Amino acid sequence: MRGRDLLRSRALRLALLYAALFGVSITALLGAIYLLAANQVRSHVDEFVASELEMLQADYVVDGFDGVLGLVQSRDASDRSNHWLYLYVAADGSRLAGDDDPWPDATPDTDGFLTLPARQHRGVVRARVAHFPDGSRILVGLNDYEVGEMRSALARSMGLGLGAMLLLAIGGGILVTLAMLRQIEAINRVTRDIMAGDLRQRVPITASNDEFDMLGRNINAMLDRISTLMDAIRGVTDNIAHDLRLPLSRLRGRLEASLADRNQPAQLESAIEQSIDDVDSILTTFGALLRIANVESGRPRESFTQVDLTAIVHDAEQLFEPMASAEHKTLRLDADVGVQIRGSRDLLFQALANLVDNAIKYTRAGGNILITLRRRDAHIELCVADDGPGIPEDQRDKVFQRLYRADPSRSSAGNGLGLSLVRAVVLLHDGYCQIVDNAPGARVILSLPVAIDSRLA
Amino acid sequence: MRILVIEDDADTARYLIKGLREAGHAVDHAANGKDGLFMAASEPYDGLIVDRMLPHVDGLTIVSTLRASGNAMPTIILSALGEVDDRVRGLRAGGDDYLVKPFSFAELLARLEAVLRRSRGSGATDTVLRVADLEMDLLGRSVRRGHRAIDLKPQEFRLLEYLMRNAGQVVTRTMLFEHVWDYHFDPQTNVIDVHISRLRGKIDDAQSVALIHTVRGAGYCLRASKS
Repeated sequence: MRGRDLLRSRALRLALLYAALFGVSITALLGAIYLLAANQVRSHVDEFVASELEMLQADYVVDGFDGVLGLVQSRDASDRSNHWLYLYVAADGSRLAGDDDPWPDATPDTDGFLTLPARQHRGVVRARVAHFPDGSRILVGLNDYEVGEMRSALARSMGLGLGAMLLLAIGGGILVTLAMLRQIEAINRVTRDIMAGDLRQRVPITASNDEFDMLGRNINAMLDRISTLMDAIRGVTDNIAHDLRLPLSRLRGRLEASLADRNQPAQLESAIEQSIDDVDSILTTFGALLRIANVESGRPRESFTQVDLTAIVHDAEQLFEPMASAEHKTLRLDADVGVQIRGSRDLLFQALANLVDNAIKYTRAGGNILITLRRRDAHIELCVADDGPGIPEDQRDKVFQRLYRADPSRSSAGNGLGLSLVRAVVLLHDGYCQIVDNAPGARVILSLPVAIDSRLA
Repeated sequence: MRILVIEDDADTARYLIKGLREAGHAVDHAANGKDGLFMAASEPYDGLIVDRMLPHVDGLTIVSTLRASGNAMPTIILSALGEVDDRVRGLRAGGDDYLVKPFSFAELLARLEAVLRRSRGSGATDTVLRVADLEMDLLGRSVRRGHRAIDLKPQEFRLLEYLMRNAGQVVTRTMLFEHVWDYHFDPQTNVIDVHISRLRGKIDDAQSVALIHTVRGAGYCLRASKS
């Protein structure tokens, strides 16, 4: 993990953004609390002043002028904190008791309070005035210094809290980001190794089964599929190289030899004709490979139509019956009527033709080939069975592979692609194919899904 | 016949022109789609052979442009794209036939003759086809050779009908497979040959002159005598 990665990380940017949003909202909340609390304290100051003044007025009623004078003097002596301000003056303005300050000339607000500058401390003095019947008046004030104290204490603790919160958010964000980056880095490491050519690498999966594990599992499944495909392609490439080298070297040899025959037109002509045959067989192999690739790409699905499979099997029987009987073999057909499927008529026919052609080719004279078409409940079963030599069990899957020939020495006819096309066509139609023992012989079974509207069609 | 070849590959063009001239056709050549379309639209050719992939204007556009302007010139589209869909697109654009590269010249020539013949409209509305003493009644679905009635299965009837409609012309195995069986791929086996030999057994007996001839390297030809 590099610091640069962390700074560029989307996860970190998200964490910081969250911290910022959280900070703003917390600040707004704390600000509101602060204002409310400050107002509350100020109104308490006003209440203190009002009740003190009421007490003085009550004293005047009870004890008259002397009562007030005594109380102010006793307050003056006991209150060392100088939070309170008392000014008691006679009707002529001369000082009677209290502090030394001059009588303020400020005008009271709507609540009857004066706001005076404080002598000591910071803040202001909230004061109220009372007039007695003898013309004397008294001013009682209280420094709201405590409000300021409380305000700054509040602000300090809120600031500390906010800072701690932001630190936690950023720190947590970084931790979460690091954990996330670690998991992403694990995936990145695997993909880098794979890009470097080591296809066996897999993303480690933890036990937590979280979304990273899901991602990892999907990536691993994708890698498995890719390596399967790559193995298949490698196999095919090897086979193509192998299968084409033979006819190409034969062609080369013939062309070289024909140079010596250049003065014998008849031999030259036959050499050229044979060369064309060789090239044609190579082109046929290529054509078949391209066709299989096209079928496997799924593109022909775009032109699927409703196809009468019964008609197709009848066409195949009709097409191949003369060939079978010319080779003293019997080709028979047993088909359910009106079997419909969504698919490609040409491809289905070609797949069936390949199977029937194979069956005829690999059956001895006097042998039997049977095509059956059955509609089962959930699928359509198309079988081509023969009583020829059959296919050994261990080769029944391999014969569907490209360019595989069960017995390389058996025949030079065919290119080992017929059954590969069959399988590709069946898979294109969402079906599957298998070879079973026909005792004797082989039975190729194609299972195709029933067209949804086959009953209606 | 006067044929226009629109083909950008110089080797293929040379090969086509040489073969067509040897077959007795007068040939003009255009090496790109723009010139080709101009020539096809301004000169009265009997037939057009056009490559699908061309510089400037592609083959399908040329054909559909000609068809849109009412030009019904018999046309064969050549293409390296061989799948059923490609073929359907080619024919939908207005091509009379569609041939996948690589092809043998014999295949091209046979198909060209077939589309030229079809465009002349010969036999399209006939009810009886005759070649020498072979007679096919399309309405009665019966066939006679001289005085001998010949019993044919439906598929054999269609096979013979196609050969008779193209009498004197070479028809290839794939042409037979396409027109008689209506499937579009190269069957790669000798199934068609077996059908022909069975048909030949019914048409040509020991007493009569052979009508169905095998043309080496190309296909079959139904004609009265060896020319």
